[in-house]
Amino acid sequence: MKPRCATLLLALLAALASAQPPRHVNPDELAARPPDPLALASAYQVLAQLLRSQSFAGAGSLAKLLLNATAPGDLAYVLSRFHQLVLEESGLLNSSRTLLDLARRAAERGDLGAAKSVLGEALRALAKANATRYGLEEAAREIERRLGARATLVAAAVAELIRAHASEALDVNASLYNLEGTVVTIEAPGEAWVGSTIEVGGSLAASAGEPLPARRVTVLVDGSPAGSAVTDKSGRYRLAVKVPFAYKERLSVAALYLPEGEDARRYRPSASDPVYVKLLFTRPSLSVSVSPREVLPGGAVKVRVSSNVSGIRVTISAFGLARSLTLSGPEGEVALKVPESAVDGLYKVVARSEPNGTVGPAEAAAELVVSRIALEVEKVEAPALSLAPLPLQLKVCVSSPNGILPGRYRVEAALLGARYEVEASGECAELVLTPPLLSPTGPVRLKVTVTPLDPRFKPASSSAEVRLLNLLLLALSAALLVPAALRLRRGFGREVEAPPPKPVEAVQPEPEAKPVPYSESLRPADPAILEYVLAVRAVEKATGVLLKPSHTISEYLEAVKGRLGPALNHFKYLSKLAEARLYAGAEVDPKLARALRVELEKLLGGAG
Amino acid sequence: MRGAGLALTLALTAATLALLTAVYPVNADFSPDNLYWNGMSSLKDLGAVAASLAEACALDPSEHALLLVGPSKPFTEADARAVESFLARGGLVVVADDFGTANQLLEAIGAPVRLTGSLLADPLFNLGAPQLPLAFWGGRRLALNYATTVNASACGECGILAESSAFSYLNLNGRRDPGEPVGPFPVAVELRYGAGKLVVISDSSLFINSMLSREANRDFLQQLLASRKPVLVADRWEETPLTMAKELLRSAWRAASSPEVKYSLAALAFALSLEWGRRLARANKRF
Repeated sequence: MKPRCATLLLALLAALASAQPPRHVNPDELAARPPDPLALASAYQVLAQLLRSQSFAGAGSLAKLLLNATAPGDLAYVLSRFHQLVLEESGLLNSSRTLLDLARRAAERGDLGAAKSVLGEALRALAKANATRYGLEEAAREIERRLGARATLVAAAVAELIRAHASEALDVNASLYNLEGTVVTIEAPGEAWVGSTIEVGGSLAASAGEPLPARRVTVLVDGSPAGSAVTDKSGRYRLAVKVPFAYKERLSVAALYLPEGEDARRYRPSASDPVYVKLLFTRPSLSVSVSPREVLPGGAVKVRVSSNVSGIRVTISAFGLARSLTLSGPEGEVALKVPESAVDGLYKVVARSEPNGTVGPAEAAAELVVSRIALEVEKVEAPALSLAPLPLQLKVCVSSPNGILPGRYRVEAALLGARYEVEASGECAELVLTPPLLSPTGPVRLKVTVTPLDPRFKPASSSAEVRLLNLLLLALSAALLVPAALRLRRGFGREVEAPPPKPVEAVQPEPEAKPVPYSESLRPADPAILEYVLAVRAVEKATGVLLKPSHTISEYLEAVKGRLGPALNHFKYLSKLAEARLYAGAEVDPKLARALRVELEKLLGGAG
Repeated sequence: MRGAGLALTLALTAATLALLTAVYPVNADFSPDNLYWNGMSSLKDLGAVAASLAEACALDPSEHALLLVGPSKPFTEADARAVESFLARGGLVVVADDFGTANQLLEAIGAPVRLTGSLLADPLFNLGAPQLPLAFWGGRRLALNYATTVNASACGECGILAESSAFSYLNLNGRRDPGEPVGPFPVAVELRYGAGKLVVISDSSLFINSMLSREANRDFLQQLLASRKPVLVADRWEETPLTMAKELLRSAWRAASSPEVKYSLAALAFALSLEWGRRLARANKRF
């Protein structure tokens, strides 16, 4: 049961780990991989389709995008070269397509010189595209071999288009050199009211001057067909044309002859030079004013519109909003509310009248300033000295130049990384801040921000300095200082109690009570050392040389060795044992030490 | 004597550990002190400073831009209010996250954009692996690293700053499947928020050391910041033991730098060294 549970737990942990992808990996540690062949193949399929439908802009954009494809090593070069060639081919085929269309249109207008010149350019573009095609096919085969993505689809689409454009160029070429030219003219009145009907007319003849009767001539108004008429015996035509409601300076009118049936193999198409008709309509004067010119966010303004034409419909736009107004008289007024979210700045209020029949449109604009009331932090009152981490009271007072204060506002204060806030109303707000436990003692900058909840006011900020004294740190320092002071006092006390210099004692010997020898104060717990101390006392008694606190074992031995006589060896041996025990921690047999001490005392004459 | 030796050993061990903690290089994700590939020390070249969210929100919003990169700690209501306030005062907040906790903040401040949390992959346009896709910012490219996408469908006034290619897809199950949503997806959007501007980027790694210099990532950040000083919000990441130890050390250092503690410690050290010296001398001379 237990292993199964453990396996389940491990599987659960693994699933959890794999459910969440990593946040990032080191890109330098990644080995570049070739692009996904499936994705590349689908891109080439789309590219081939775009080329076949002669959507050259789309094909160019896609080829440009594919230039960003990532691949390792020399494959990156092959891919990049292929996409570059597709981009070039797309551009060349786009040029040849446009030039062929231009050549055809020039031929249809009868402008043979221009048609021939443009056709020449189209043929040059096609020749260049054909030359580039071979490199493209090579690269496509290489991509297909190495990645399996069908790049040859794109090469095939390019080849197909080159063939189609070449065949079209041959057609245009034939139409240019074997047909008889025609001339069509047009006449129209110099001016006309919008919405009215005008009569236009003209003539159609072969280039030799022979009138062409019973042919259909199309009249174009501003480039769009407005109607057609059939020429009479003398090659003349007439037609009534409706003038559109276009409120502009003038209108262009032209005639177009497109040969039909048998004529298509005999005559070239032709177009007249355009004639211009001045358009007549009433231009209303429109003016707009706003009051007041300066407003607060959320405030209202009155927009007054006046015009010399009554009954017009005016649309007023401002702040991305639009209001409509119909002028029943020469003036009209509408109220507009400034959005509460509007930021400070200069705004335009635009009034546009809509055209109606022979009355044209008009436009006027007025400027409106949106500005919020500047709120000021008048004072930030904080205690001169504050004991951390005890809370401290902060008083923030606000004011504004015109004396108006926001209904409610939020006061935020940041102190040593901690943030405090309170919502308040009136002139002043009070906040309680708690400095962090480990606030440093000393001056600290306090930042205060006031954000009005009323959109008519601007936020304000200020700062103040607070001097903190951290009680916790003070207690800690006291805990450190007291033992330090005690230690120091002990250290200095020893120095004061140091014995006076010896010469003074020598000059004035006083019959004082005999001082207790230092060896008498020693009470070692170790039995071997105790034997040594007892031996020292015997030696002191026999020799009169006392052990000093500053003596080491060997120093004392040195001091007494001249006075020990036959007992020297025993005391030397005992001193070595004591040294070994004290300094090296060696095991010393107390019985041996005791025997040596007893022997020593015997040799010293029963001293001890 | 034995007790003194033990105290000395302990003190030396503690000092060595403190020293090691202080000098051991930071390797935490996104840390501005991390000089390695996953840190953000390079942002210092752009004048970035690190601050806590509360400190950052208290700065002048007209001169500073908040960078909230890869947050992993939850946001509180107070955090959301602080960010709201910074935005309302005309500040710029750049949220760059993928699988972190930024959605909590976006929801709390009522921003109509979310991070989808699905892994974005691009088999054609990438930095060598589909999970490191390229995104297109105008005519320039941004390099992403395990990114997700931004869902701005509920945002009528959002401007799309950058999007992935038409070949990108959302990898919902770790492999490419025919039914998975395909791009282009928005990866960086901006929206007005009060008087301020909020930018949401669906990759937390766009500005890390190993990515900042790739493609146009640096220029993108510089353009976002305009003339504002970047402030990297540094208290929204889960802490590693090393960062916790460093923070502890910093706090201890701050406390010890306080005048009263500093001079008390000096006095105690002097007294202890005096006592120690006295004991050593006595031990040398006496048994």
